[in-house]
Amino acid sequence: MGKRLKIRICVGTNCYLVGGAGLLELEDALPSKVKDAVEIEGAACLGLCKDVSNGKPPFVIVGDKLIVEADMYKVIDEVMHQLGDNENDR
Amino acid sequence: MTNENRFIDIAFAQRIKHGESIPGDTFLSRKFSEEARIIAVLSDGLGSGIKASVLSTLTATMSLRFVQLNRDLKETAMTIASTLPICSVRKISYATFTIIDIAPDYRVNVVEYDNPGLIVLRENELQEIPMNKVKIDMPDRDEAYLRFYTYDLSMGDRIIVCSDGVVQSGLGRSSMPFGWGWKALVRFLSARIEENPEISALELAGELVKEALSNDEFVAKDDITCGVLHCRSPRRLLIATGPPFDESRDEYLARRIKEFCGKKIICGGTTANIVSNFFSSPLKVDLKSSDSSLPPVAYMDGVDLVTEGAVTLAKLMDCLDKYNLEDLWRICEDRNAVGMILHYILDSDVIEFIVGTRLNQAHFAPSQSVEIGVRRILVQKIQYLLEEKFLKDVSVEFV
Repeated sequence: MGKRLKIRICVGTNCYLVGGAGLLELEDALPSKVKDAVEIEGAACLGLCKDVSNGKPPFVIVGDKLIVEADMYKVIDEVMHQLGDNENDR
Repeated sequence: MTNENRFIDIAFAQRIKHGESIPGDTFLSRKFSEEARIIAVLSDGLGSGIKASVLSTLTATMSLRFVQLNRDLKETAMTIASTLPICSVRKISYATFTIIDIAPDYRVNVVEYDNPGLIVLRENELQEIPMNKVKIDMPDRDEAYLRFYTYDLSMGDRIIVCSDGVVQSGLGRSSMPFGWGWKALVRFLSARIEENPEISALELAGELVKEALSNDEFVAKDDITCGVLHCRSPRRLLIATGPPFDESRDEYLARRIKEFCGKKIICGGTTANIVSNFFSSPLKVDLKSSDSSLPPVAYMDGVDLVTEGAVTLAKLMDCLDKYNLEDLWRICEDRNAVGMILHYILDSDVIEFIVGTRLNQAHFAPSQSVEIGVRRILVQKIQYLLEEKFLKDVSVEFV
């Protein structure tokens, strides 16, 4: 199996309070077929909330893509999209 | 000899006489931080239950106060004896006491009235402390004596004081017809310390009380109480929270953490990132340590624990405010940020906070509905609770 898709969830205060807490259950919410293709990790404050131009928290980074105002749907959507794209590339 | 390197760990353990609901023995201790003085008292009231409790509580409270005011001890003993309410059954008023007074220069003065003899262990050897016996005129007593001891406390010394419920435990059993006895009790303490030289005051007192209870075949025949004072070097904890006001101080913060002798905790993602960069050691977040109300913890080399800042500290403050020591030890078992920090806190004697004062722009977003107390106020409240409620030695440095 190739490199796993990395998902980084910001667990800084701001992200945690405005919805990031729920994102910590991402692993349970992912469709089982993609669970082995991703790697979920927490990040101690990505520092993105300090610049308004980055958008609003909570922040999640899927692969190289930043997701702002992240929720379960957006993240899973992006994961499926990136994994699907990769398959098309092959 | 530097005094700051000594710490007196004080604790007591107790078992109530079978069938009673409150103890007739009282152990009280107070640290007077402004004069660096420590006074501890154990009193055993006549009889058991509520009556004995009133007698011993009054005796312990009054003697602690009198000693603090440097009143003459003979006079104190007699004042207490003539103040105590008279037992309706025995027509006398009576409660024993042992008062231990540790001065800022570690000179120890002890006065004992009818309690089992004071035990002083130095390097786990029983010390013979010169004793001065003084006859006093107590109401309703033919012969009453106060025993005075004076000596200098050394690093590592343990002072153990117990009620007769400990010495006389097991009374009447064929193996100990006259009870456990003072000498056997000292041997037991020595054996425990031999096994675990670092045993805390609380654990040692607990073990002794447990053993006395087992001598009584788990039905305590009297109130069983043991107090332990242990002079040792303090266990230190550093909690760094928040980035320094000025970025040029980031290096100072990292160095303070690196050079600190003791356990180290960082509360706050930004702070952790700063230190992680300076240490060149990556942060590893443990997502499994999160629950619905607390962000997860993280680890990095050179630091014992990393947690999120504001939410975690607010919850910590709440716990320290709401719960007593016994509940907090239970909360410590939780595998979340507050449980882990609490464990380090309860295990430490001296706690230093380094509080960064850079404002976190993120916390002022108008969208934020949850009120986050400013870090500084949170830490000050935590400091107050740790000092007043849990007798910790706390300092706060703002950077």
